[in-house]
Amino acid sequence: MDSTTTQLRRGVIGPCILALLAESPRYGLEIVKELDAAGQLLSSQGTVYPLLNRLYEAGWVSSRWQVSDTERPRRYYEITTQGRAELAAFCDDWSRFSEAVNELIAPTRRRGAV
Amino acid sequence: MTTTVRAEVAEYLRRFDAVSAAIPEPRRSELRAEIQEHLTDSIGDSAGTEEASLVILEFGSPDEIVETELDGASTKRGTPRWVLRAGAIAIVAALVIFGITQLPRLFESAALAGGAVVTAHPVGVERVTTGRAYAEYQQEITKLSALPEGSAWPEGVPAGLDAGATVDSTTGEVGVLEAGAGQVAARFTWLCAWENEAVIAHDHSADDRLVAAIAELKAFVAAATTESWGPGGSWTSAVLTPTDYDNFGPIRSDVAESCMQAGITIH
Repeated sequence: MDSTTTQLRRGVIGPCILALLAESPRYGLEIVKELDAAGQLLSSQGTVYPLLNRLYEAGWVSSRWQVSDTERPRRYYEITTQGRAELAAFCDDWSRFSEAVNELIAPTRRRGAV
Repeated sequence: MTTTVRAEVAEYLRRFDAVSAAIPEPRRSELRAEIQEHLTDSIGDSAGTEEASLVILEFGSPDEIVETELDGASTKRGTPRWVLRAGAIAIVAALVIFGITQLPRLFESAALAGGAVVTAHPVGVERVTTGRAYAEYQQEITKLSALPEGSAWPEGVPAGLDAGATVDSTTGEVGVLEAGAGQVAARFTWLCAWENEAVIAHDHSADDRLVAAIAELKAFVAAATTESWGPGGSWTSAVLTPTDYDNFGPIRSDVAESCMQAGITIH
């Protein structure tokens, strides 16, 4: 995968995880499946755990182990108040950023160069 | 719960162990446990060798995961709880050491008690009254202001927080905990007590108690030695400042986490 895509992915993967958690708490495997379904946003599935740890260290997610009699213990992650604020800020930034980029690349796309 | 580790998962973990020495404990054990759970869940009990290999391939190599982990460790962005989390992770590691079966009582969603939750013998993890972490705890509580009326400093600190080598009873892994966890336990205990006091006072419209509790928390912020807990820190803006606008939702949520970090269960 080329470096541009890699950099783009790095820039958005954190907010994308926050967006999933904003809907409901999830555990790692659930997050991986949804990111894959959305468009394989992870370079590899296992990297979700270091990424979740970064979000945790930033105070944007919290975590808890959930134990049941019928399932293995799972570590659930959920978004914090700070995380929601961070996600909202990203959404604003992304809206402006994507509009600007789309405007710039529109002529190129119309010409069929890409 | 006892589980049998599939050969493919065991092999992957062996490869992870070989390349992950640079990840400090207890984070390394924590990450290893998550990897094991993920692979075990993904592969399941009935998958064949080929299917298991495909799952592991999609999961990614241990080198890539370790690289991502260390890359994140070297380029930390604003970590509001970094200084305290170093010890908080140690506390979480202590909880894991006691066995996953103990965790539901510690992490379950809790309705706040109508009274003090910080007592000499609080509900929660096993505590010890010896060791370096206990000495750190004892020293730190002399620096903190008194707890709310009806509360008492727990006798002892959560077990397993002493700096130095430790053995994870779940995995048998030998790790190293850093010093300072006893101090962290003391501060989170204090926070648990006063956040709980503020919420109870608010819920009961006990204005005198509420004003006193908020004043204590603001004094805690003013005296903070780390940016994350200081007046401009994220905890202040996300949890404490909203109380000035009668928004007690964030602090209500934070009580459970603060108490958990102190090894105290609230119901």
